Amino acid sequence: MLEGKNLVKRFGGLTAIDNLDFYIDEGKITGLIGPNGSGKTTLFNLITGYYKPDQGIIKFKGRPITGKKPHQILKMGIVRTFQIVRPFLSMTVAENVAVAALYGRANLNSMKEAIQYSKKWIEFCGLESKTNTPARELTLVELKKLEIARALATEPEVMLIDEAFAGLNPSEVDQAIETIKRIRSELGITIFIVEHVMRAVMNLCDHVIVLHNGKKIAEGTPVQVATSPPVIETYLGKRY
Amino acid sequence: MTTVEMLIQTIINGILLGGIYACFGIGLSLLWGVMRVGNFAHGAIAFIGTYLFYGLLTSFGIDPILSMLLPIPLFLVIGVILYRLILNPVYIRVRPEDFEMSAMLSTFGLALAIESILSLKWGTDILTIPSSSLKYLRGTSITFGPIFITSQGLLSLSLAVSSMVLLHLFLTKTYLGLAIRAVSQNREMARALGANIQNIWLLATGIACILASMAGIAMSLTYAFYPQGYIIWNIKAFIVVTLGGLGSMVGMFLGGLILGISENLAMTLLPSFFSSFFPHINVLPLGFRDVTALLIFLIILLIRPQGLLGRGS
Amino acid sequence: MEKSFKFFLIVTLLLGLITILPAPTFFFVALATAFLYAGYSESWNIVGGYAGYTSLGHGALFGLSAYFVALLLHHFGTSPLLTIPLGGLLCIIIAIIIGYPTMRLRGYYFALATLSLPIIFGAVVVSFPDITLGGRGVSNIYITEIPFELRPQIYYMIFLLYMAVCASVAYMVERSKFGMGLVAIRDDEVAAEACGINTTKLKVRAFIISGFLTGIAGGFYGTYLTYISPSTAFGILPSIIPVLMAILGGRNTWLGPIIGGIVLDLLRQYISYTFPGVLNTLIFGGILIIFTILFPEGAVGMIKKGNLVGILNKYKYRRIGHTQSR
Repeated sequence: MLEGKNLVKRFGGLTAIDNLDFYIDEGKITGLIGPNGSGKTTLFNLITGYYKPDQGIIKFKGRPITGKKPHQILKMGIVRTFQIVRPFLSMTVAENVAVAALYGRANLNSMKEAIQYSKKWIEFCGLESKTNTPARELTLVELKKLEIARALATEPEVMLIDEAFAGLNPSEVDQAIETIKRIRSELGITIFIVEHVMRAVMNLCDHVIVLHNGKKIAEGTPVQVATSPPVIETYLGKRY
Repeated sequence: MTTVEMLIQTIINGILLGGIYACFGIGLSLLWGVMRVGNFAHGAIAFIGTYLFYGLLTSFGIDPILSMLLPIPLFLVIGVILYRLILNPVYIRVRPEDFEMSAMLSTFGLALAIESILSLKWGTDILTIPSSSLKYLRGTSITFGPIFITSQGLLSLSLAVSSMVLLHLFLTKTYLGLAIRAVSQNREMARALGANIQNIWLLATGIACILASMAGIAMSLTYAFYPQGYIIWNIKAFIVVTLGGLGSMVGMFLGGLILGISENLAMTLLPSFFSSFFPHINVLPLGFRDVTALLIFLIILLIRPQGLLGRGS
Repeated sequence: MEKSFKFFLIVTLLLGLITILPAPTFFFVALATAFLYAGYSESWNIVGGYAGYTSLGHGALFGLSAYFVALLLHHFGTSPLLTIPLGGLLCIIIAIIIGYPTMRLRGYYFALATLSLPIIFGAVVVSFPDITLGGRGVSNIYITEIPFELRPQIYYMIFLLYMAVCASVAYMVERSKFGMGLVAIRDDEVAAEACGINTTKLKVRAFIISGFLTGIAGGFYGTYLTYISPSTAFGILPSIIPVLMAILGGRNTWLGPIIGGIVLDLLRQYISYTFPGVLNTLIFGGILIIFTILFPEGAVGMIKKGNLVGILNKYKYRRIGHTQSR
């Protein structure tokens, strides 16, 4: 459904993505892991149009999307969340989600409709009690939920989630895992998730891609990847 | 004067001007680097320096070098006022994402206030430093045939260069200078290592004000001034900082030179260039200087916003 | 429709009806410029307040339009009634030409870049005195269709109408999908793109609306003063005044620039008559400082939050509790 071939991205002397191929299956939850600086967020930025690759192409449902702008890619069905949450601070929760409802694929046109529509997603993410709270008064967990709700309101087919689990305590992690599972099962959205929290990766992902220095060093089911020598070497060193 | 000689004269004038621009730039760059504050009052504070210098020279007949040095403690005080009254309150009260803009607007307000006070005291007429008041500093121009360098121009340049050298020495050789550099580069780390950020900012503001006054004095030695004129120097200072890039004193100087030389070249060459295409339109060279400067600014902002030698914002 | 807007429209109507009454001329003169500036500030606010792109160079468009109208009248005798709307269109074109490259700049750099615009335009005007009459300025700018004795009342009506139009435009924008998009851009442009907002398209649209309204203001202004010069048209004042008014009144709502505009201009007029010229600038500077630091939400924010003391206290306590890294 979503694939990239021969992707290269350089920043000055640093090659962030080095001849990378990837393939995301429809309906699956695919994980992207790797040490810090391995190029994970860069890949997300490439897919969603914030960066242009120096080489290579990215295709979505067979159509090339390389070089398109973020809002165009959004309208085609790919949404992303941000590692460091980016709420619209001057707006309430409802208004935040309403923006996505207006400009996303739901393409609503009136504020009233958008606010009404956004309630559905606010509930889905468990934020009803905060519907009219200004975003700047939310806690980190609530902001992460808002990020998800906003992404859902754009009615995507593919959702790119960037390190949503960072900073959550164990019970919040469980809750988040449940929500993401529901996104796949109830809404049929394909998920591509960058994560460091291993419990989430093992629990959620059907398929995992491991990145190191911009290259893919392993790929497979979570168990396969966890036991593969190159991965162990990268994370723990050669002795293991 | 042949064309070559005219060109050389233009470039020399440009170098002198560039030194002054660079001098304006370093004070601005200091505050921008340490506190991320784009001080719109920098030019106005420089003009306070100008008018004080002027006042001491003409109204009290004080020795020129003393006139330059005496107000320095005053500018430390002005720095404290600027910090305590405006910069610190903005930092505390305003949301972090609005800080830059609020700092800019409030310092702009301060600049307006300063401008009006200067107007009240000295009127809105254009003034210059009379060379008689410069006493022993007044010299004759150095000449190479038809090309000349005014002594006042050299004075400006030496004042500018000495300010830069002193600042550089301060930043690299003293403990406080090191602290300032640390905070410029990584605020959180410096804080974690025990630096008192508020005090360092206070110090930096004071130093920036002193540098501003030096720039104002350097400018007045060569150029005429009036209270509303600070704006364009302030903008040129921003241009120099942007051109040179953050964190680089050499870049600043280079930037100043580029700006000064380009302006003068444009002012000398463009009007005749233009007239050759449109001979029937009368062209006054008045505006070309600023337009060139601003075009350079826009181009740099769009193409290489981190400046020629900068580390990046 | 919001209650306060309804109230505003009614007040506007009543103010308009006053022209029939034999009110003193000074009443019309005083309020005329207040209305003009309020509307001008309102149009600035679409770019500077809603979208968050603080333009310090709107005076460039204001003066450009004023000069356009004045010069066409001077050189060709064209009636301002024809050229003022054209001035508005001219400003749209210039706003787009300048807007496209500059809107890539981050807020702070955008302010700097726009600050330089009036200076550039002023310099160009001064450099070509044959066309623009240079530093002398252009005089005798009249809309000849307006009878001289009725000038105060008619300009009062024109500017009142202008203010009402600008306020209505701002009101509609604020409530629309477009306005929501602008605020999203202001809060976080990257996130706005991620929500599907074509930020370039929206920003250009904002520039167009603001540019046109600003051009209309500038065009009329020249005919009102009957004289313009590079310093009045391209000085710092036409650029800083709309900003100041919006900050004073509140940048987030349609009501802010109206309140800020009328209050500030009446204040300015009072000061001009009572004190020497430069005191204006001093007071403006002071207001800018106070309102940026203490009342960033402006007067409207103050009214909404209800309590002056409450605001001061609330901001003080942030110092102790904040956890965000700065």
